[in-house]
Amino acid sequence: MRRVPVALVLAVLLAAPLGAQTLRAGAVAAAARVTTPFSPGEPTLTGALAGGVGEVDLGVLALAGTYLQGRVTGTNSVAWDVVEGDVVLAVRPAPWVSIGFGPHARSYLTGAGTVRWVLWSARAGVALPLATDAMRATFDLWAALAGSVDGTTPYGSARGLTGGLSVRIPRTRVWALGTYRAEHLALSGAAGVETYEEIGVGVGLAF
Amino acid sequence: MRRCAAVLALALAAAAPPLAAQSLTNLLDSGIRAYQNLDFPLAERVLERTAHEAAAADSTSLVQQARMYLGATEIYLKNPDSAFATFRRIVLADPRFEADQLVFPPQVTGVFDSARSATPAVALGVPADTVLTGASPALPIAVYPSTLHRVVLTVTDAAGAHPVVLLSGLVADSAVEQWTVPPPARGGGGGRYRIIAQSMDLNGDVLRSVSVPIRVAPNVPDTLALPAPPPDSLFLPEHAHDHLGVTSLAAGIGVGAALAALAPAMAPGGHLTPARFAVAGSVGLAGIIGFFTHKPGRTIPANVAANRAIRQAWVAHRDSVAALNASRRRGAGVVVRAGAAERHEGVAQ
Repeated sequence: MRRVPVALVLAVLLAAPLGAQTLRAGAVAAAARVTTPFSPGEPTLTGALAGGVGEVDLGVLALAGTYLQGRVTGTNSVAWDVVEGDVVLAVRPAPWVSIGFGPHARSYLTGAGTVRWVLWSARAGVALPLATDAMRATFDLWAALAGSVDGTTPYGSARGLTGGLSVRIPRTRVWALGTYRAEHLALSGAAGVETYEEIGVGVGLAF
Repeated sequence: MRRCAAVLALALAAAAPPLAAQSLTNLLDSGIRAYQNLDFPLAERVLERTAHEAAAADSTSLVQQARMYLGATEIYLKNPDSAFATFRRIVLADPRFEADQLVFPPQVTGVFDSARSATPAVALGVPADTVLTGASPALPIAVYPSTLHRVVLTVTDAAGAHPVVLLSGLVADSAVEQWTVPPPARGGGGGRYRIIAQSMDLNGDVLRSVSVPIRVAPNVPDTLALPAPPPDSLFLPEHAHDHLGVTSLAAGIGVGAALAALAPAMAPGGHLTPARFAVAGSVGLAGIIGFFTHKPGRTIPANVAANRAIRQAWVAHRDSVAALNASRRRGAGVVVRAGAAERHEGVAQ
């Protein structure tokens, strides 16, 4: 219970002036490709996801979240619903550097049950301006500090990267992005490795 | 007793060096007192000395007063010829001089008037220092004769050549003629001229003349200083000296390369699709475009436009000041300065 007031105080102390604070929200569509040990007959599944992203940028502090859901299928009869999301609380020691931490979860609704990855990951990333602040090249690396899998095998490790391009349309509130994401999720021992790959585009408004 | 004192004073005055203006006035007063006391011999001597000393001191007014009282004294001393000659000298020195009828009796003023009538001379009235404007500036020249006679008024150059006759005829009281001043040569120091008024006898011979040198110069009006060019500190840099282009290139290539290269390392054995290359290539291409649009030394159009506006504002201000100055110079006219009158018997030299 004490943590909430402390976080609020920190947020107030580290917040940028009101004019420098930004709220971003938008819609994202992605094409995903997952190779998972939980589908032994047809390990590689592909599909489309859609969802939304949002970010509250207070200057030094930023809170971002993503939600996507969709379906991945195999070439035969396998078809899983996918739901995933993450929340990252980041600190920006410089406008182009961020260090964050937060939960990241993904669920596969298989015919046999639900497989859910829950990861607590640390992230480090850059957002480098390409000649102008309106266009940035983004690149994040993350590694899970802890995690769990609702399956038959205990969790091993997880890491990944995200990179892409974000563009703020000049003299408008519109922004757009294109990203690529690759994740490596390992079960404990030699039980298996899941590789998740996603390429997405998004568009939204900034306030 | 009083006579002895006056003689003593005269002796002291005679032995004294040239007198200052105040002493000349005192000496004139002594002569006038002697005249008023009917001590005419003493008055004659004192007034003669006063006229002599005042002439040496270029005090024309005192000379004329002393001579007027001297002429009156000579009338009472029964020397009408001397009085006539004295009055004649007054008229020659100043043809406009008139005997004060409240001070001198008709016996005196009558002789003075006869001397004046017998001495044709002319005085010139020219502004000592005047500015004439207009397209054809004209200088008014007044002629004042001592008596009715024929006067020829001319203006010549400094060497006496190129005479312009302004007046040739009988003048009784006064006449004013206009002389159109020639424009001074551009960049020159102005022109020098001479105004000559000649008194003619009935045969058309020149009795005497008076001349006044004049100098005509361009009038230099008050003009405004041209505004200085805007200082360099006002101008914005027209060419970029930053490293935006280089950092853009480095960021685009770096992130693109990291995406392409690190993805397999992050997911070993994952058989990743080539999709990452599309995103990596897009990022790299954006960095390259950023480099070429923001490479060092590029022209900054907004700054060029702002600097052009500053220069145009300065040029417009400078041109307006220059036009105003030119307008003032065009209407400035000429300055005419007259020198001292010179009198000559016969034709002016």
